[in-house]
Amino acid sequence: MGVTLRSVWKTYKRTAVLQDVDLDLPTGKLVALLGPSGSGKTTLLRILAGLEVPDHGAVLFDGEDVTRRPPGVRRAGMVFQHYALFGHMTVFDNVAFGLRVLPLKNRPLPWEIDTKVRELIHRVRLDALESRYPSQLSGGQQQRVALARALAVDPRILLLDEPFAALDAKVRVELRRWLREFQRELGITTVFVTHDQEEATDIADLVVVVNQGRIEQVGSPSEIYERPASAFVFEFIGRSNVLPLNAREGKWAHDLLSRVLPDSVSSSETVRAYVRPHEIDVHRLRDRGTAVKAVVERVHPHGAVVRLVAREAGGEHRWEAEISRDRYEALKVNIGDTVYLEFRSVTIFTPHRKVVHSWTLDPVREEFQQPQRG
Amino acid sequence: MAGGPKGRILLPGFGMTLGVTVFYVCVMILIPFAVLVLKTASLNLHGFYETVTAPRVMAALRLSLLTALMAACINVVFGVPAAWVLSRYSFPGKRLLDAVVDLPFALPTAVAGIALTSMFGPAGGPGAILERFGVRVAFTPVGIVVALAFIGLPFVVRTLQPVIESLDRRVEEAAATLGASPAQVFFRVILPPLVPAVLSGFSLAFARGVGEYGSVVFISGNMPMRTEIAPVVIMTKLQQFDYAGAAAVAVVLLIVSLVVMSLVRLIELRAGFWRTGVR
Repeated sequence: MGVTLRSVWKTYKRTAVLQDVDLDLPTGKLVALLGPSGSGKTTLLRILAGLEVPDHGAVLFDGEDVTRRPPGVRRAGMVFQHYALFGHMTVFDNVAFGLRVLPLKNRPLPWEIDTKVRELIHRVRLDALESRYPSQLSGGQQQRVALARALAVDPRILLLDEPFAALDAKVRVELRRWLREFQRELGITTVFVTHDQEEATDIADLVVVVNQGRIEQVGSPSEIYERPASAFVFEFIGRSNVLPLNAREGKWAHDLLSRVLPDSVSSSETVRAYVRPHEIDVHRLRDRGTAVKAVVERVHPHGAVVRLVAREAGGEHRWEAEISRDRYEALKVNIGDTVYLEFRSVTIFTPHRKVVHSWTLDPVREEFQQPQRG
Repeated sequence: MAGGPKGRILLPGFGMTLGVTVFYVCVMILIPFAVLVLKTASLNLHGFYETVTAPRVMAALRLSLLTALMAACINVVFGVPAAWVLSRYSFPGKRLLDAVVDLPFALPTAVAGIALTSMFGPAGGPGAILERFGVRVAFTPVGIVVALAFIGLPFVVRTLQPVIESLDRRVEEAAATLGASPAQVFFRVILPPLVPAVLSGFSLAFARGVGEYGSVVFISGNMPMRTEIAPVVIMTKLQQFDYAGAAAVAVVLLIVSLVVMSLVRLIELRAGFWRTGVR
């Protein structure tokens, strides 16, 4: 089922939590609502569930206006962050709940409920646990009970609030891959909320980046990483180094900017410039004028790549560079060594446009973006 | 569970706190009870039987137990919504209302007795109006129930409040997204976890009602065989220096209270077994 939000506003005690949100979620996709805490992503999910009513705007399920429809009749299956299982009911009774509260004329017969519940319990791989109570289950098992319970009512859309936040790291990765497969099998449009960009980009078909009650960007994981629409998205997705642009520490960056963007340097507070760690080359010797001299402070091996943290010589600014293991071994750098950092490309955001300045590819790529509101 | 919580705890608390508790419980509760039972022992078994089956004593015991039971039931009916509104909603005057619930705790029970008697007595306004409709409250068992309901309310409200506050509202929201109506949410999701606390409050109110003296004596009129409660019988026996007889009646009250409390505790454990998984 496709979901559309049309200029949705929501305010709590005079704080605007959602401001003019427009969103189109295509049928059958796994969608991540990604944003920092307090960005309004959970409110957005609760509006989809019908647990909150927007102040203005409309929620459409397959073109049908459900804005004011109570949660029960929307058939939006919700999995809460801490699962919100019924503690006094067994796994079986939890899953059967949605069927047992149906009005008598629609309620399946007891044996039909039994069959359906057993099948769901089997699908979420909890067969042996159907007569346990939630307090006797692990976090991951409770999570799957919550999922089976939500699926019992044949929801048109599945909503998950921070589904993996309360699990430990290993289970989290396992469970999210499993959810990815499970969602593909079911084919139900699924929306999950997360503050973890890795989680979002790992499994989602579509990532919706939310910040301060507005949608910053909607796109596939690779789109938002490779073509971030705003400084916020650039910083939030993946690792990045911020270029210091003040006159004292960032003299060279300042000079670079005045060459690339002569018109906007004057108002340097509104300009943000970044470089990704993997876009930094590390050399032992200076071979280009713009290289930054720095002292290696820490070395983190990370599988095929090695992360170096280096402090700019004569300054306080720290740079994170990511180089291949081969390169690292060829360089033979140790903590305390002096290195020269060369930036392959710098991404600059001004309030109205994004400029990618690259030394290796085309010299300057420029993309205009919509002026930001507010 | 021997020897306190698992793992190393930083405060050397178990030995000391257990010692203090055992000492205090002995001195304040168990020894007085033992003395009471010893006092009864000065009657032989036949004497004990004679004393507690005397018609006046039987009538008083029955009256005490039945009125306490009714009052506890009434308090459950009104105490659940009261605890609900006080823990779930905020409204102007909430703190005042919350404090008023404690009044029966804080007030000397004799004050309550006088207040209720003057309200429901033939001279009092509400009492006179009820009398016109043929309902007599003062000097009847109805009056006793009213007095016991008055003093029992805080027990139900105060035991329920923290439990209601600890309920996770997301659970109710989950039930709503699954299509449950508000009534279904209440009866299937909210009420079951409250059952143990309701029973606790009920048994506390009941136990208190069985032994209540101060607030009842004024409104009941203490007519033997009709409105004389068991504590009054004990008092009368004491005034006649029949210490053993008084103790015998007291032992019966004690046993009934203990039985009710343990029964309720048992149901409570069964109702709450999902918390621990132990049946």
